[in-house]
Amino acid sequence: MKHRILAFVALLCAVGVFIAPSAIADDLTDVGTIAQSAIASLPAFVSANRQLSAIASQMQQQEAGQMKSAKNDAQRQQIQLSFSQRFNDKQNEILGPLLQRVQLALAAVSAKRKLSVVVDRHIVVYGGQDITTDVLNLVTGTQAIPPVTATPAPSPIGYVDQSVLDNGLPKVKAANDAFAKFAQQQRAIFAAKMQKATTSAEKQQISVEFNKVLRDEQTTLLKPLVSKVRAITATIAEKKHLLVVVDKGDIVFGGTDITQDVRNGLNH
Amino acid sequence: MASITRLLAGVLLVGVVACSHVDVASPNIRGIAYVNTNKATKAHPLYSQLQDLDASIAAIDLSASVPMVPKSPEEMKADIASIKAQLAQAETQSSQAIGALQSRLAKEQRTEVAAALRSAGLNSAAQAYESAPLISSAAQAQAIEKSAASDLQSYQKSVVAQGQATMGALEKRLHEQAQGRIETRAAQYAREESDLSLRLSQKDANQRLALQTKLNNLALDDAQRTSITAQLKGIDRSEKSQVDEMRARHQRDLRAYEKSLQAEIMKQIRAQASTLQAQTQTQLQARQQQVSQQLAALSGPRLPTNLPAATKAQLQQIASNLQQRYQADLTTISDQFNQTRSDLEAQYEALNGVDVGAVGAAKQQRDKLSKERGDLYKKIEDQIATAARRIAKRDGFSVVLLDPIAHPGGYDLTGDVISSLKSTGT
Repeated sequence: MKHRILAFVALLCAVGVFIAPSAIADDLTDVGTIAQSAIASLPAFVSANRQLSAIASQMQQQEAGQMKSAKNDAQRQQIQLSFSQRFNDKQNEILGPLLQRVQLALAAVSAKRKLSVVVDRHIVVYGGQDITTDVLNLVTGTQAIPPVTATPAPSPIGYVDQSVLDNGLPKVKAANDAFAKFAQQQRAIFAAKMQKATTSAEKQQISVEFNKVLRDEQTTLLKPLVSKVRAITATIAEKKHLLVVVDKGDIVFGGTDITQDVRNGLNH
Repeated sequence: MASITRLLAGVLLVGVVACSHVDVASPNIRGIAYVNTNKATKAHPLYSQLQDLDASIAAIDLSASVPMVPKSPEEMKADIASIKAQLAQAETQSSQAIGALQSRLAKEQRTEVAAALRSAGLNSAAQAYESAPLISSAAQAQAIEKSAASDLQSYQKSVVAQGQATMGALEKRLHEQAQGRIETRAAQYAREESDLSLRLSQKDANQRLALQTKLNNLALDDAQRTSITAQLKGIDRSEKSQVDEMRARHQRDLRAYEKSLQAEIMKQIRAQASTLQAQTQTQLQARQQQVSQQLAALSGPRLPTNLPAATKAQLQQIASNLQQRYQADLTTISDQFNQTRSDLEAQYEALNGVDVGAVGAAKQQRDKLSKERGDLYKKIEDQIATAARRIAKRDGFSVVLLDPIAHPGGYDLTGDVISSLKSTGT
């Protein structure tokens, strides 16, 4: 009897090893992937970007002309802001309808495939459902895309806007500035050493030392902050039952935005 | 009974081990895995190469940020001369290294081929192969060819010069001989003319004396005096006419004689030239044959034509191996030289105030390194992705993400990927 039980348990485990992967994979496929570059290559986007590029060039000339007559930094800043706003408006005017159509297509395909999140394909090396073709077909179609009323299911993948964290936090900004200054000083020192070097080997050695100095300083200045940001991000993600957190730039649709929570956590 | 228990326990152990593998369906994983590419890249066997490329690129970038200090024309001249000298030295060293490499491989080839022939029982062929002159390098062969051609040319010149000298001497000697003969004959003719003149004078001496005596007589009238004078002149004319006739004949004879002598000289010279030409031709052919034999040796030792198939295959393998080694070593030498040249070019450009990071050899070098770096990184990245896909498929993950910012859940596949990379040796 004892032998039968042992044999049965062993058999179960062995069979489990072989059948489990595919069975599990079927259950967890709510992550979609898309090649954003394919969207950007659509003729409508290419044409819009070309139009925007021409406008930007024209505006830069106008801005440079106005800058010449500016009397102080405040005026220069004002001119810069004004042109930046005008360009953003133009960008929204030209690209807005296209992006909106893409978002509608993404929502429609995601709903149809029961996806909780769609990420850029370059951060996925395995699995996920590639919805690039479906989205492209909808976007390039002639018919209107009806908006999806249902919100996507909660995703185990969250995201943070790192640019907000990098620039919005005084400590991070100070550390970044200090590092940039240090790098500039070291570049001058090592450039002088480089001038005396004659062979590639010498130059390479100097370069290795230069990189090491920068890396060490980066570790001293930035690593504690980066670790802190990551730790807080992980804590918040855990509280929100997220499994992984990626950068906002890699999320195309869905996902859980925890940027503000992380920011708050860092400020505390 | 005990053995069955042990067997079942073993099966159970395997099963338990299998079951203890990562539980991808657990709430904390839910089929999601991730890979830290930075960590995996650093553990990749090719990472050191990536670091070297990064350092080289950074070195060029650092060089580009070196502020330019103007140099005096003298300093510039000296620096440029130094760069040129270094480049020339690098070229010489490179050529010498290639020569030494060819020499070494030629010796190795000889030893290996002779050994292969001996192992096939072809001892005499092996010995002949070993004893043939060794031309180890293309440069050496070229030098020998050049030297042989130069020798042959010199020899040709010397033979021709020798022939010309012989002909000149012969011509001179023949002309001198002819001249001597003509002079002898001319002297003989002169004597004959003189004898004739003397004989005629003696013959006419009495008549001339009688006429002159008459002429000295004061009682002669003009008509008588004119007649006697005319008789004397007639004697003189007659003598002169005979001598002149003889002289004219002699001169004709001399011209004919000279002409016949010249013809004789030309005949002898032509005969001699023909002989000499034949001799020269023979000498040159002999030397040419000798040189051809020397040059034939440049193709290296000869192998028997009727070699067994296995030996032929072995010899081909030897040749192929040596060729590969030659190419590899040649590439190393070439790379070293190119590196040195690139350094020197960058120094030259820097001397001339060129932004070394932006243009010229340094830019080319940077672009090349950047491309190499990009290709290598892509290779590493692809291998990491391939390993991650393989493991994910095996373990049943539904999705594998790269470099999440935070990961309170999910499964970290980085360690497995690194183990896989190391085990496959990629």
